[in-house]
Amino acid sequence: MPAEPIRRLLARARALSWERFGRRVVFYLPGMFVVDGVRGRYPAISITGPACGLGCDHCRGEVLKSMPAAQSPPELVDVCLRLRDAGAVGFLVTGGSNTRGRLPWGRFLDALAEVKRRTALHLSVHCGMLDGPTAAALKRAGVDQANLDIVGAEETWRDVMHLPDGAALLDQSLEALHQAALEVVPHVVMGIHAGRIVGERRALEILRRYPPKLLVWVVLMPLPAAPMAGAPPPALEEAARLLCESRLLFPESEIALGCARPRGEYRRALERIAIDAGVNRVALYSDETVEYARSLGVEVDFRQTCCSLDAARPDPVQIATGRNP
Amino acid sequence: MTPLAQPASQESPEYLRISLAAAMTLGLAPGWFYRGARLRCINLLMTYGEGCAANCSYCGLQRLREGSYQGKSFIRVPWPVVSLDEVVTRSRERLSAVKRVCLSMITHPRAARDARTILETLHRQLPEAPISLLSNPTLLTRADLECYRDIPIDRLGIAVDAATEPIFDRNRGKGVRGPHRWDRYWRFFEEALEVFGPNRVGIHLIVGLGETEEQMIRLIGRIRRAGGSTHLFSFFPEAGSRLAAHPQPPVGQYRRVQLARYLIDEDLATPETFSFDARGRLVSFGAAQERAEQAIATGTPFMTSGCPDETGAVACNRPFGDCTPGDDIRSFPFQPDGEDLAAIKRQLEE
Repeated sequence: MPAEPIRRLLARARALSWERFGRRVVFYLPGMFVVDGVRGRYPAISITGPACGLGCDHCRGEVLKSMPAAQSPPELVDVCLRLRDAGAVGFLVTGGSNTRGRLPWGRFLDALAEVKRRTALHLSVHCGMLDGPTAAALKRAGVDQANLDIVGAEETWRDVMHLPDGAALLDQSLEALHQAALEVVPHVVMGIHAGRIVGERRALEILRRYPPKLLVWVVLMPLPAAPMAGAPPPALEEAARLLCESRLLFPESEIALGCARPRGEYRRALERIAIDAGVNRVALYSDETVEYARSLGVEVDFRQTCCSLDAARPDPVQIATGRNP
Repeated sequence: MTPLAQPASQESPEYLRISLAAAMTLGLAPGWFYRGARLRCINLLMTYGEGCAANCSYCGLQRLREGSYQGKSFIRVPWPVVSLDEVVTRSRERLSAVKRVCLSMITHPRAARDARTILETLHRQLPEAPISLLSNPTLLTRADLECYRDIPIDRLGIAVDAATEPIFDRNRGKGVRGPHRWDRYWRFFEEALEVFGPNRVGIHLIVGLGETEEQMIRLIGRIRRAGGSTHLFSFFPEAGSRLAAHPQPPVGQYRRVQLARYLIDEDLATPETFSFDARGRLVSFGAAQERAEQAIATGTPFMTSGCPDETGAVACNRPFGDCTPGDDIRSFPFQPDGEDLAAIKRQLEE
């Protein structure tokens, strides 16, 4: 059967999205990125500093180097309080993994609970692989959301993450999070396997067992010092098809185009496609995209947080500052 | 039955030898360790009637040593023979105590094939426990490594042991009419890094075979830069081996190498900033001096370096594998206490 023409597929996805979620897009400015003088207010903090044992071929821990480090529990509390005073409205606590894909949550549970108690701000984690007790403990500590990368192909686990049993570990982690009733915000990286589309559709199949409230698409962005440096991102038409297919598979889930993706011309082109596909959230957006959305009669709104935060909730920045961003 | 023969029914892959410490963890041997040390890694060694075909001068298993293979000690302790079935059954009964399983190969023509059978059985029967293989570069090909990785096993060890090529040749290669070759070991290390990825390949090195601190520490730095890490041992003479009369390294030498290894493998320093005196003794960490002092205070650098459990803590702590229980502990199988730390600080200056 020939593939459905891409224009028709985009129109079908867009219609479904607008019908369910309204003709509306929320644009997010996460991290501490600054765009046109507006600063994101949702910083990512690494609890392992720049160290990562997992060493995936597209990153090798490079992404951690730009984050504030909090390598001990007291440091995490200090860093969060300092960032709150600088205007942060929540935190993404992340870090490097060990070679089994795990972060050292055990040591940081009390500090996370203290951050939650003293700031009452939104708390999300890049949870990595975890077991049932750890998932439950994160929930008890007050973590609001767990971001988790969903990798679909066994060969990607093996050859890119160097974690041959990653698929089984991911299953266990998803089940642990589900049992703990900790909200999972799955992230799927298009082209994670050196730019090729290998396991992305399988990743969606995995998620059908745990339909998410929000699915975040990001795109391979090999960091310059990593072994995969120079790998091309997936072709735009491939990316468009994945966006549409995920919409059709998950009609009740919001879909976001996340912040981790190539910059430049590719970024603008993909954002335009995302609007055409009816995605509900776009992070680290370009002005052209905002204009394009408006030109289609799409209502736009803005947040200075991670795109995982629910836009239906009151804007935390307005609450924190008493003014519009 | 001749003393050298072992019943065919008691050979790998059905049978293995198990370290005394692991036998204690599985309740196969009575006793407990000095100061409550506990091994959380089940260390297994392949076993054949013909024994190991290599002849490494410092090893208890050397071919030319008196006695039958199964009577030979290894790392100075007896390794009783046990069936793989029994290892699996007892491990299943004690899952919370078993944080890792490690299979050590010996140099035998059937070892590559039998290792696969054993690793597959371990993974099938004990899927909870991560698996390491202490591999034999002389026997294995890259295809073997890919096959083991896909079982899967998550860690590979390579016992290079000697820090320089002349020391390697003298103790493991031509000097002892042994089959191992320095170049082959390092090519194998590169292949292993490609197959397993960074931070999953550990090189075993023994301090005290005649190398200087500088030679050892610079090698540890090169291993780290390539993406590997080092599991360190202090030489301890094995009775009956060629090096039975060779002395232990001075404790100060071992402490300095332990500390340097910790800083390098934890990415807290690189040897480029260190300084050494004319005899190759480490005299300063340079820019990393403050980090070194912080690390000393934790005691962690002086604990056994080895494969971790799922949380990243060392599972393979080899209690008293390189020293006798008592006052001269070399690799601590537990967190050193205040008294230990005071001694360690003195030893670092010796």
